[in-house]
Amino acid sequence: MNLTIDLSPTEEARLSAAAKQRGLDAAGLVKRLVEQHLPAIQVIDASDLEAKLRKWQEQDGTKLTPDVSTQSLFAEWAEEDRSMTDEEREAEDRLWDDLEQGLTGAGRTVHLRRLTE
Amino acid sequence: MIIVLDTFPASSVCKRPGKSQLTVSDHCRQWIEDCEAAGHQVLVPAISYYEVLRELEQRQATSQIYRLKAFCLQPKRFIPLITNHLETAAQLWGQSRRAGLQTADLHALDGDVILAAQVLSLGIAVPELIVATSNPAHLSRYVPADLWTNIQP
Repeated sequence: MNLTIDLSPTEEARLSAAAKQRGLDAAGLVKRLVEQHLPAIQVIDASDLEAKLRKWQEQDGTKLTPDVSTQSLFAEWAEEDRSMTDEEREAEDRLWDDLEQGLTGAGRTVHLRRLTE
Repeated sequence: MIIVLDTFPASSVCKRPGKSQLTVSDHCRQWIEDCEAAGHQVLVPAISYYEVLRELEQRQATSQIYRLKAFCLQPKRFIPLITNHLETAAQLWGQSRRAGLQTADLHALDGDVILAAQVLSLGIAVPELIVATSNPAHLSRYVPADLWTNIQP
């Protein structure tokens, strides 16, 4: 991220002097000061994260699905897929050929309207 | 570690086997399974879910939609989109525009800032979290992000 900061002539002189004293350029000193004074990101544990997700899901009214491990879910689907016909497999190839181009080619596609659109 | 799936990795979960050789989606799907087996928690933000779901809806891919929901909408996985996320996303959008983001990057900006806002809202320290994506260039302005192929399960 690039920031533009307006400084008074006095502040600019103080910054230049302080940076020179530390062997840094002005931008380097500002970056160091920001790093030193930014509040740390709050670390949350797994139960806090789950509580946070649950709260948002309740607010949202998300229609949740059962909590199943990915391994179990994929194993269940692999069992279902055993009965796929050659035609269905070919259709799957075509679908994903199309999807992969769309999702990996141009990157993200969500673009919201501007006020004048 | 907590791994947040961007759109492409999230899409791979609902792929069924094809007749030809394995595709990048097949490999990504296996990678997600390996990540969870290794003890990582895999999360899906609503914006990634939306971007996959609409592509599947366009193609009327009913069984893939069912699988996408079964994977993404689990209580310990899904990050719904709330107003607070949109407010943070708007701040990031405004900062990026003021900083003179190139016009070519603008079409991706909305999705990137919404995803970033959802990730930032989790309040998880950086070494404990990464966004797995197929295009980290833009997203990594806001949150730690890497190609899914670079993230070790």
